[in-house]
Amino acid sequence: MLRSNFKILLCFFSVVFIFSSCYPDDERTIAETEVTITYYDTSFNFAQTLSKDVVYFEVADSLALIKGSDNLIDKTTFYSVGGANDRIRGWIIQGFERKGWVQAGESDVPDFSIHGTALATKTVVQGYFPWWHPGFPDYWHWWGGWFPGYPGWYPWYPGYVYSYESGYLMFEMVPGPRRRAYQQWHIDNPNLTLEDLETTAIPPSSQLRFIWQANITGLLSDNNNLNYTIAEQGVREAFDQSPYLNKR
Amino acid sequence: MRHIIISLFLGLLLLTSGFTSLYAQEETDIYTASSQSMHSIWSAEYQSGLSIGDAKDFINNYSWRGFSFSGEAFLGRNFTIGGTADWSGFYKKRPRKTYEISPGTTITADVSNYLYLYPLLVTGGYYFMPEAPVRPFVKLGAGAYYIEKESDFGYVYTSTNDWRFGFQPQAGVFIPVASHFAGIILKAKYNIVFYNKENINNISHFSFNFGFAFSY
Repeated sequence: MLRSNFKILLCFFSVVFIFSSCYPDDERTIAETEVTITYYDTSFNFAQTLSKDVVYFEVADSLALIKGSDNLIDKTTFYSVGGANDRIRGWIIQGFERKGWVQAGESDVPDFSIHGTALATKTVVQGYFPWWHPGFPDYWHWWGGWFPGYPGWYPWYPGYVYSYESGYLMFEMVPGPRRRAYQQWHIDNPNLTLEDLETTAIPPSSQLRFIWQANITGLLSDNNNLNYTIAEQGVREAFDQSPYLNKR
Repeated sequence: MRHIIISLFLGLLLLTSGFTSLYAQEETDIYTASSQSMHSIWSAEYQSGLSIGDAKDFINNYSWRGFSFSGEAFLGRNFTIGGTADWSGFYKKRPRKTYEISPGTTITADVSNYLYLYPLLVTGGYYFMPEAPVRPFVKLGAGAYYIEKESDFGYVYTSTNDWRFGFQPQAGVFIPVASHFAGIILKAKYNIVFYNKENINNISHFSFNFGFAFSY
């Protein structure tokens, strides 16, 4: 009797356990894995600059492309005319123009400078973002490069990431005067190596000050058109999240 | 961590078995007149749950996932002492939305919240009519709750794992069927866990159980 009851109990427990272990309805589409995060420096007086008659911005000609070890993005294709670099850069320019800003011409002095970074990786990343560290391989310099003297990881970024094939876009904005001071400091110190730069203190007035940052990240699909659609939506969301950038 | 939980649970069961053996000998003298007297009850139950209070703010979906396993030994005619090991899984998927997560930081994402509770409790119970066809009881459990709390923002997630103290008052009935020793068990339980973290003071939820039990 006891043995029989115990078998029934075990059977029931097994059925209950299996039923309870069914994974909930949390399958996600590729689009649902996409996350858009923006940050802005709350101590920066946006209103002062955005109240000018004309607010000029510049966007770097090329996004920094960081290749993961898996070479998911072909460099040549990425930078080809009409390729990913042009399309993504175009979304950013449109975003700022919708805010009422004007893209700076040759003779204009930009009030803000924007730089983009793209990455695709299969690597599992947890807790920090190694590609933001100085000296990370396989990136291409942009107007002298922002990476030497980079401020390091971003403590406001929540949580950490586990990934399969993931794509990542980051856009950062610095005040135009700081960008020019930073560039000038590099011109004045032309012979410093990357190792030197890691140990050399850049004067505070020449350091980059990141006042806005947008992060768009999500899993990649085999369908490249879908990846573009999701990324473009992410860029749009980044601007929607940032009403403080509206021209006053 | 699950190994620890399983080990603790097995320890709890052994403890309960010890009580059962100890009191079975004493009960023999007292209750030989009734073949229906119970020395211990073991049960496996399906468990569903309803979060309330702060936990409801985090996940307001009804939980259809859970189970409970308990054993108790009689101390005399009506009183029992034993242990309960539960598992409850709460889940809520929220549509894409924008959140300001701290001053200056904003996130837009599809958010999924998960809350898993693993209580390991010592219980004390009272059976009002231990020989009746329907045997109502009340119990109070107290002990440790292992809590896994996770929020997924797209494929980015934050998670915390904690041990907390909590109580579990419960009421139910044991209905012997077929034989006097096997039957079904129905329970309603209230759980309160003193969490005090991330704007959640207490994690409270009701559990509703049904399952199979046998006594000997």
